[in-house]
Amino acid sequence: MNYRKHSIHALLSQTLVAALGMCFLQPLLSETIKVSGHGEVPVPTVKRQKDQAAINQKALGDAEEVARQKAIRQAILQVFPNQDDIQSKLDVVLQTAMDNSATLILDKQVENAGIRDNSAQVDLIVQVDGKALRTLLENNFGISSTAGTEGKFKIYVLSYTLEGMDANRSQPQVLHEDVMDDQKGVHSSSYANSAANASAHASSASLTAAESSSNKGRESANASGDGQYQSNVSGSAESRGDGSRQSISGSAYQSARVSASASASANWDKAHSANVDARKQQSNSSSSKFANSGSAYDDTSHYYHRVVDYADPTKKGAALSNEVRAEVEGMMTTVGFDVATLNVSMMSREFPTEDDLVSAVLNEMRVNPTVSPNDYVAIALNSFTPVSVETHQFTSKVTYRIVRIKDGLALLPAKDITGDSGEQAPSDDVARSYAVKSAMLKVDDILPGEIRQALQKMHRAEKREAAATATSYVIVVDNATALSTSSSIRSALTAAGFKVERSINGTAKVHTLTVALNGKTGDDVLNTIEETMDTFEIETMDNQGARVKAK
Amino acid sequence: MLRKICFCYFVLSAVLCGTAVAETPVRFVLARQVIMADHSSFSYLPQDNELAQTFRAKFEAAFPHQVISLDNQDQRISPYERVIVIIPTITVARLTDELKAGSVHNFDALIVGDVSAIDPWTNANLYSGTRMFSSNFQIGNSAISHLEETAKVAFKESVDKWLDATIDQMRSNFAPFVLDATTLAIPPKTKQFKGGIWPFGSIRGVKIGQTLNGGPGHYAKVVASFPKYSLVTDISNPTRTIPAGERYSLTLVDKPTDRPEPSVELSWLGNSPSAQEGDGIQTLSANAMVNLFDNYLSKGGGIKVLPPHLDDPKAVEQFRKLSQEVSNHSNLVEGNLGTFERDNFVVKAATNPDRKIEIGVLERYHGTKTMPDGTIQNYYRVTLAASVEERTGSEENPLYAVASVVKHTEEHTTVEAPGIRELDPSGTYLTLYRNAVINLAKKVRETAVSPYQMGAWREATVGKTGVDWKGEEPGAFAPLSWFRPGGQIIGNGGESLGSLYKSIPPSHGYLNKSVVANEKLEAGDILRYQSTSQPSLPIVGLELVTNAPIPSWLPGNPWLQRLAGDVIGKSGSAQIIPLQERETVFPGVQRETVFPGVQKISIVKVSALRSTREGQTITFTGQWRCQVRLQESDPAVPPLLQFGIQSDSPVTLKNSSPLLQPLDTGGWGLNYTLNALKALADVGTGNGIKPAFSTVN
Repeated sequence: MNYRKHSIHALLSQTLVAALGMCFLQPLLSETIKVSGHGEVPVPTVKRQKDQAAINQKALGDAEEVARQKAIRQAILQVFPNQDDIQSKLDVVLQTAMDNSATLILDKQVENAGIRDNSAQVDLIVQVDGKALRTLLENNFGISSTAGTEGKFKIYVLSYTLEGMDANRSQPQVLHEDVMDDQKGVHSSSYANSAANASAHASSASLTAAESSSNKGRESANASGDGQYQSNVSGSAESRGDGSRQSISGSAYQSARVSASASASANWDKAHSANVDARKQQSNSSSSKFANSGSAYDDTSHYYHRVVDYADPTKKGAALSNEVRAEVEGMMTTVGFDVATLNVSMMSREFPTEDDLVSAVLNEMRVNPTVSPNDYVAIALNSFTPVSVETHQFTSKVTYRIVRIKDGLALLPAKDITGDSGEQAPSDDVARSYAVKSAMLKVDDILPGEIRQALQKMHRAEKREAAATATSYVIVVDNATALSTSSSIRSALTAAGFKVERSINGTAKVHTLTVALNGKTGDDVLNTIEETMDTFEIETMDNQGARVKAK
Repeated sequence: MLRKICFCYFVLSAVLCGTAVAETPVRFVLARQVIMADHSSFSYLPQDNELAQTFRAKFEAAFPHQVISLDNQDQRISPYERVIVIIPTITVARLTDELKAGSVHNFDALIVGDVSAIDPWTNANLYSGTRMFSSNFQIGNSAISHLEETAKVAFKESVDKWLDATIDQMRSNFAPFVLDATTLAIPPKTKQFKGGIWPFGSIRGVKIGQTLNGGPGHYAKVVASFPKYSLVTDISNPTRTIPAGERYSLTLVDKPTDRPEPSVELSWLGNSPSAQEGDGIQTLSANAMVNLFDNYLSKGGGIKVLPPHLDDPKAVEQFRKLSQEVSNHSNLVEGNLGTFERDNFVVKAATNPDRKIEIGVLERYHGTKTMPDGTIQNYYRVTLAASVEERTGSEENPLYAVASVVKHTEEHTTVEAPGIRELDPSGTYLTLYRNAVINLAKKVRETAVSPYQMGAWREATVGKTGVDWKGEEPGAFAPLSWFRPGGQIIGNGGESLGSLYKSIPPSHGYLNKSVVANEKLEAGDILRYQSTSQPSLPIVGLELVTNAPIPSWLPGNPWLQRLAGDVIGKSGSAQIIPLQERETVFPGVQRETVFPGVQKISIVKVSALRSTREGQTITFTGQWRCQVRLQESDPAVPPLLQFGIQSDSPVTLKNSSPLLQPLDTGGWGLNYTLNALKALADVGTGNGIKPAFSTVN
C-alpha cells in the first residue's frame, strides 16, 4: 500500500489583487481551433457528356464553399460559448467571418471529395485562428465571450510562492513528500550506514550536501513510523533533537521562516544569514542522529523520499506580490472577467497539503463580508527549483485553479504547468522571472480553450436553472418558403396540448413559434417536436429553445 | 552552427522585392564579433576587432541602410518588425602543408565558415551563407622562418573571400519573409501546359491554394507544390500559359514572432569523428560537424534550426552576451492572454521541437597500397548517417519517432610519392568529413525534411501492374491529384529543379480511389493526396540488445537501433521510438521504467556476430531476432510475436593485387548489417508484425 503526505512550508508571497472591471479582449496570438464542415450540392444533369467534368468541378467547388461556411460557423460557436448572444445575428456574423477568412483560416484539408448519388459532397477540415476570429467579432459586433458573466461575479486572484531552494542552490527541491510502503524491505543496514556516512560528510562540506544526506536519512528514519514524521511536519523548535531526522528538519525550516518574517522588508541579507545558520545547526545534528537511525532500522519496511520546501527570505517568498499573480491577474482581466483585489495573507503558516492551503484560503474568504459567495477565487501556487550551480537556471512549477468560494466548485480544475528559464539568465532573480513567464506562456496557449469550456459549462448550468422556471419555449424556423412551413410543428404541439403563437417576419422567411409551457417543461416540448424534424435541419435545439432551418 | 544560438540584429533585405517587401524592409542586427569555433590556426587569423570590423563593413555595404545598432539604448526590437540577427562563424581555420621534393612546402590557408541569419525570437538559424576558401603559398625550407607573416597574409585573403562570398549568397538567396521570383521556362516538348512554373516549392513552405501577387490586378494561384517548384495558374485566366519571366511574390511570414517553419534540433550521435588508428590525425570535432550540417541543411530555407550545443566556452560566452543584448532591446510579445519576453519564446522554441536530427559516423576507412612504381595510393571513406525523428504522442509527453535514416558515403583518394609529394593527411580528412557532412545535409534537406502542414502530402506512383501506394492507402473518397512527368525544369540560376509534373485533368472532373480505375493512368504517373494517417500509426518503442562479443565492424548501438527502427517501422507501419538503454530486466521482474504513450515494445536482439576468413572469402554471420510485446508485460510471458533469421554473407576478395591494407572490414560489415536488418524486417512482414503492432491488446 502506498500513501502520501505533503508538506508545504514556507509560503507566501501573499495575496493580491487588483480590481477592476471588464476589459476588452486583446487579440489572441496562437489559439488554433480545428473545425470541420460538410458541403453537399446537387449536380445538374447535362445533355452533353463532355460537359460533365466541368459541371462536376463546379458542383464540388460549391460544396467546398458550403463546407467552409459550416466550418467557420462551427468555429464562431466554439469561440463564443454564450451562443444566445450571437444566435440572433449569426448570419451577419458568419458573413463577416467569411469575408475575413483569408486571415482567419490558417490551414485547410479536403478530407473527402466526390460525386455520390448525383450530389457533390465535400468534407473539409479547417484550422482557424481563434484569436483573430475573436478579435474580429469583438471589434465588429461588440461580442464578448465573457459578456454574460459581467456583474455576476468577481474573480479574486491569489498567489502563493512555495520557495524550495537552498541558499546555495545546489539542491533541487521536491514539492511533495511521497511515503511508500515497501514490504520487500529493500533497505539494508549497509545502505543505511552509507547514508549516514554521506550525512556526516555533508554536514561539514556544505549545507546543500547535508540536506541531500538528510533525505536519505529519512528513508530509514521514517521506518520507525509515520506518526513521528507527521508531528514533524507541523514543526516546532522544541522537537529538535528528539531523535528523529525529520523533526529536526522541520524545526530548522521553521526557524528559517521566522527569521524571514521578522526581517521581512527591513534586511534581507540578515534574514538570509539567519536561514543559513539555522540549517547549518540542524545539518550537524542530523548526521549523528541519522547514523543511529541507520543501525536501529536495519530491516525497515517503509521508505520515502522528499525534500522540504524551504522558505527563501531572500526574495519573493516574503514579497508582496509575484510574477505569477501578476500574470494570472492579467490573463483573467484580458479574458474579460471582473477581477477584484483582496489580501489573504498566509505568511508563515504551514499546510500539510496543497489542498489544505486552498481550503484555508476559501475559509478566510467566506468570512470576509466584502466577498460574495458566488465569487470565484483563482489560486496559483508557484515553486522554484534551481537546476544547477553553474548557471542561474531555474524551473518554475505553477499550479493554478479557479474555484467558487461558496462551495469550491471548480471553474477551472487544478493544473500543473512547468517553465524553464533557460541557461542564459544573468541572475537568479531574472531566471526566476523567466521561469515563471515560460510557465505562463504555456498557460497562455491553453487558457482560452479552458475558459471557453468553463463558460460553456457555466452557461449550461444557468440554463438548467432557468429551465426550471421557464414559462415559454421559442422555436425559430429559418428558410421558410411558405406560411405552412412550420405547420407540422405547430400541429404536433397543439395536439399535445400546448398553446402556440406564431409570428412571421416581413418576407415570411422566418417563423417564430412561442410555446406557452403552462407548467410543462422545455423537455416536454422537445419530445413533442422531435418527430417533426425530418423536414428541417436542426441548428440548435435544447430544453431552452430551438432554431431549425427548413430543408 | 554555433552562431545560431543567439541573437540579434535586424535587417531586411533586399532580396525580396515586390511591393510588400519594399514597404516593410528587413533590418539586421550584426553580432559584435566573428565567432571562432576552431582555434587551431587562431594565431594566423586577423585579430577579433579587425575581423569584426571587416565583417561589419562588408555587410553594411551589401545591405545599405538596413543594419541597426543596439548601441542606442532607445533602440527596441518590436515583435511586428522584420528583424534578423546576423552571426558570422569561422568553423574551420587550418593551414595544410604539402611537401614537394622534400624541400618545398605548398601551404593552403583554409577557411570554412558561414554567415547565418538567426531568428531573434527563437534563436533558430533560418539561413546560412557558407563557403570554404583557401589561399595558397609556397615556402622553401630555407625561408620557413617567414611562415607566420606569410600565413597571416594568406589567411586575411581567405577571410576576405569567405565573407564576400557568404554575404553575397545571403543577398541573393535569403528570403526570410517574402518569396519573390520570376516564373520559369516550360520544358520544351511539353504540350498543352496551362499555367506556369514558379521556382519555390514545398521545401520553402509553399502550399497549394496560396495566392501569389504579380502586381496590381495580377494574381496566380498555387495548384501544386513540389519540393523545388510550384505549378501556378493565372487566377483571371486559368487556361493561360504563363511564360518565363513574369514576377510573383508570396508573403510567407507576416508575424515575425510566429514563424510557421518546423523547428529542428540537431545533435551528434555515437562516436566522435576520428581518423584511422595510426594516422595520428585530429579530425573535425563532432560539434564542428553538427555546425556544418546546420549550415547546409538551412541553405534551402523553410525550416528553423535550433541552436546546437556548443562546447567551446569562449563561443558560448560570445553567444550568451549577444543573446542578452538582444533580449535587453526586445519589446514584449503579445500572446493570447498575456505578454511575454523574448527569452520565453527562445526557451519555448527549444522545448519539444518538431523534429530532431541526429548525425553520426556509421563507419570510416583508410586503406593504402604501394604500387610497383613506389607510389602510395590512399583510399579514404566515411559513411555518415542522419536519423530524422518526428515528434509524436501527446503534448505532455512528446515522443520522437524515426521517420527515416539517411546515409551518405564519401570517398577520397590521393597518391603520394615519398620524397616527391608528401601530403598532410589532416587536410585529406578535413576534406573527406566536410564533403561528407555537406552532402549528407543536402540529402536530408531534399528527401527527409518538409514543412509541417495539416495532412502531409503523400505520393503514389503508377507502375505497369497498378498503383503503388507505398504504405497506408488513402480513403475511398480522399481527393487525388494526378500528374505526369515531363522534361527537366531549369531554375533561374541554371540549376535543375527536377522533372516537371504536369497536372492531368480527370475525365469526371475529380479523382479519388473510387473512380481512379476509370482513368487512363500511365506508368510513371504519380497520384498525390493528403494523409492524416501518420498520427494514427501505432507508437512502438524499440529496444536493442547486442550480445558480446561485439565485432568492431558493427555500427554502435545507438545507430544500430535507429537503422533497425527505420526498417521495422516501415515494414510494420508503426512509429518507432528508440528507447534509452535500460538495466537488464530479469524474468519475473517487471520493467521499472514505463514510457508514456508507447503502446508496444519491439526488442531487437543481435547475437553470435562474427566474421571469418577462409582463403579469399570473408564470411559475416550473425543471428538477428525480434520480439514484440506489451511494454508492461513480464519478460517471462511469451511475446506477442517473435521471429528471427540466421544471416550469413560471404565477401570474396578479388585478385587485383595489391590489396588495400588493412582489409575493408568496416565497409563490408556495414553492408552486411544493413542487409540483415532488411531481411529481418521482411521476415517480420511475413510473420504479421503489422497486425502485432496495431492490434489493441
